[in-house]
Amino acid sequence: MSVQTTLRAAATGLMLTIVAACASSDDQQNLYSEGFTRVRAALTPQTPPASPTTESVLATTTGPLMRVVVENRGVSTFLFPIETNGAYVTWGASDRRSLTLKRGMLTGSRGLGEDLMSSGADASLALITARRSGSAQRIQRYLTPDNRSYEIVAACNIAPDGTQGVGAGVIRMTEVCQAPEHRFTNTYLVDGAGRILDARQWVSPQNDYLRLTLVRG
Amino acid sequence: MFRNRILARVSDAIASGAIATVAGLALPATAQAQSLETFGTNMYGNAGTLIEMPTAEVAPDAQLSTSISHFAGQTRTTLTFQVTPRLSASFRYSAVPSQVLAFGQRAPGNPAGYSGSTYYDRSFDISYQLLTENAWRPALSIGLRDFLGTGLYEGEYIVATKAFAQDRLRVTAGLGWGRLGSLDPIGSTGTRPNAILGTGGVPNYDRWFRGDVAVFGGVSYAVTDKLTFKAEYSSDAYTDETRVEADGRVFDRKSPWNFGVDYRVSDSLSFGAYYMYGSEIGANIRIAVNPRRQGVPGGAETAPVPVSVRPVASAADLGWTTEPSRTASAVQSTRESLDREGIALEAMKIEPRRATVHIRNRRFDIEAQSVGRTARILTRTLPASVETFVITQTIEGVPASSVVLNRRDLEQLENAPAGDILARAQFTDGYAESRGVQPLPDAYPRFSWSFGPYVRTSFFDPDEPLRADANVRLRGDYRPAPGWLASASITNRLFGNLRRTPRPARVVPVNPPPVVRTDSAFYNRTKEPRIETLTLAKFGRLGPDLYGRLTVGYLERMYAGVSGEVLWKPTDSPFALGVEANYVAKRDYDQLFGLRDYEVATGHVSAYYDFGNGFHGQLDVGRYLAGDWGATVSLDREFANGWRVGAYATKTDISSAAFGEGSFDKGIRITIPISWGLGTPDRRTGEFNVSSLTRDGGARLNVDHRLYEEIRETHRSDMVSSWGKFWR
Repeated sequence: MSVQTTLRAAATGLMLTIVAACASSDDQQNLYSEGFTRVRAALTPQTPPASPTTESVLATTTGPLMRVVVENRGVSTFLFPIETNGAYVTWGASDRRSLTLKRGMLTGSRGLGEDLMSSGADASLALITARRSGSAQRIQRYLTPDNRSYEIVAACNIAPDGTQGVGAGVIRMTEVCQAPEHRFTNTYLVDGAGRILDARQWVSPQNDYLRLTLVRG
Repeated sequence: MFRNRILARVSDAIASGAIATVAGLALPATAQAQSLETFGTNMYGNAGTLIEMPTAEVAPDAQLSTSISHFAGQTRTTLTFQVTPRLSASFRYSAVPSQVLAFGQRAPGNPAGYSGSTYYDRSFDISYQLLTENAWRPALSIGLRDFLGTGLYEGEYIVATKAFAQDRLRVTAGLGWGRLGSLDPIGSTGTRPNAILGTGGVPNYDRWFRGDVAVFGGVSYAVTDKLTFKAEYSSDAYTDETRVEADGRVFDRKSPWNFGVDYRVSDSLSFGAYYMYGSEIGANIRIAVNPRRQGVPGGAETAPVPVSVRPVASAADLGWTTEPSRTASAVQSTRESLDREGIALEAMKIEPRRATVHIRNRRFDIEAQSVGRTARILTRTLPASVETFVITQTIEGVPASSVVLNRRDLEQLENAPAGDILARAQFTDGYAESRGVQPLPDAYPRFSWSFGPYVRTSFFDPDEPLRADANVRLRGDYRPAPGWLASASITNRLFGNLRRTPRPARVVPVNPPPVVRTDSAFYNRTKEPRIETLTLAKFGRLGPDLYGRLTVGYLERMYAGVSGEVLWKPTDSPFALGVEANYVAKRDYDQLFGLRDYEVATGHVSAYYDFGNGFHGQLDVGRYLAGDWGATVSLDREFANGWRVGAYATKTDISSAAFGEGSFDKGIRITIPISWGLGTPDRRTGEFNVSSLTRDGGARLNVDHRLYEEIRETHRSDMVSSWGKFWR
């Protein structure tokens, strides 16, 4: 167990002792039980729960379905559309996390930690769905740990990357973006109708890349 | 699915937060580039990459670090806060062998008669970076060490630091006075007086930059990002510590040269080891936390429900207004949806084009988030013709500020920057908006209770680093109707050492004021259950922008009586004005129903001002518990995530001789939001205070639910700073 982990566990317990109390459920959660859970979580090795297979989810659900993979954590989950606002569709997971996509491109997340609050990427989206090359500005908005809003503004170059065999009538588009402190490359599979079927997008500095695959349209 | 990673970050944050605060002391809206930033601290806990000598370096803005260092029998625990990008302040609690005092003339009173083998000393430092570094010149800083009171470590300096070799090499040279001018002075600037001002605790301004001046300097070289080597020439002769007397000397100082190495484990944790003065080994451990940089950005809580967009043309349909059951079901579904978000619906009024809700936010420490989630829920539960949402936040059943939103704006701006909806939102006084809004039938009466252990602490008093009592508390709150609150809390001490009577003061007050707080230990003695508080309070609106509170009963551990308050605070004003008047009697030490023979009228006029750059000031002028008249000035740096770091000082018409040790009351305080530690919303906070010795002058009554702190977060001036949470 690392020094940091030990410190964390000890300090968590200490802080909770100072402020904890059990209470009627009205205005307070029971910080004690929460504290113990967290200390235990910090002290025990964690194995990610097994993800359900795509086949089993397809078999047990109906309607549109998207699979999302958080690459740097090696976890995945399935999302279902829960609301539509104009061109934006919000997809929700069963654990109350959600992603918002505009015509297949990720523009927002909620519940990931360091969420993408919103995006200004219409110029990129237009080029990508038209399967054309060009350059565009991409703005991604976040909150800091002290709840201030800030933007990452990137200059992006969009082009088809020429990969063959990704599917009939489907081509792969890349969006190479350079921001003052970040550099990332998004890739999209776009069909002849301009629909994004699969996207690998950089969501935020800590969450890094998400892979979004439309399993059932 | 994302829990593990989040938890790791969360506990990081807690770890550093709690430790930094418990062990010792830690806004500009935009990140400012800082000059010669360092995570390192020296043996005095000040930001810098040398060992004992100061540098012109600064810690990252808002850094709150605790440094514990030890050498030659002395231990220094220092809390340092980077107040602004250039200004830094430190509080230090040191344990030194008491021989030092026997020789020095520094402590007030009669330190030679001090009997313990260890002497605990408290000291404050301040430094300011006058010039930032550029290609042609070094950074230049000026600073004062231990500038209040006894001045065990007293010294002043002007120092320059320049970085070379891609910032790996930093070279420092400076001029020092006081302790820092004690070895081989090159000259002198006047005579340095020896006497202490007042009874300690007063800035020794007559000594600053006076007397002998000496040169010091050093270099540090970062071999890797983790490993830094350093060497310095110290101008501190350690005159008192090295004098040979009957007790022996504290240490044998053979050389002015110090050498050492620092190892940085992470931004939050680092260690240093040093070979000092040719004879001693020194060590230093640092734990740092940064309210701006650490924590889960945006929080790890679950997603809000999305906005539901109305079908085109449905807004014209008013058919529902003729069906009472439609209204009733809208109220019901609103309440259930809000309840899932930890928001209680206290009152609701639905009109054809407009709906008003009164919400009590139980979960979110950031009010903008609570209002944002309420607004989205209303888009899902209200009939399509309702175009205007009035969301009024209530405090103790009393309407505070209201946010008025157009439904169409919510529909159109859900995926836009938060500033866009802020520009469209109106903030109004809930007083006007609440007319004709009836509470829901089951919102009142309400009862809640809690039971659990709690700890009362006293940090860094002059006798012991930490005193604490473990207690249990049973608390009940009954709210029969909006604005009414009956509270009782019963405590029982389990174990601890707070009951110990402090040793006689080092300075005996002359003609002291009535004993109003110095007998606090007597209230910690009983092992029987105690009535901590037993009160009845009424909160209300006295008019536009006016709030009122009246509390009667056993107000706090030591006083009972009546307390009334009126506060004027417009929702968009950074300025507020309050008046509080109390008539109280002192309670018996057993904290049951009896009273002692001391009654006093006490109260204040308070002005509050939010400077808008993250700093908040308060001025209280009035009569204190001992009947003394005076004023308290407070200044806090407040972060939009709820962190606060501040200081206060009270001066009354009691002379420093009558006040006793410390001359006047002062302290530092830190508030840490629990949400910052957990990474999910929570309204509770942890508070830590380090104040001067408890004395009777400048003492204030403690009353629960003082109005300003209760209502300010619902006002525009506070909500704007964390408005980005509206869509979170």
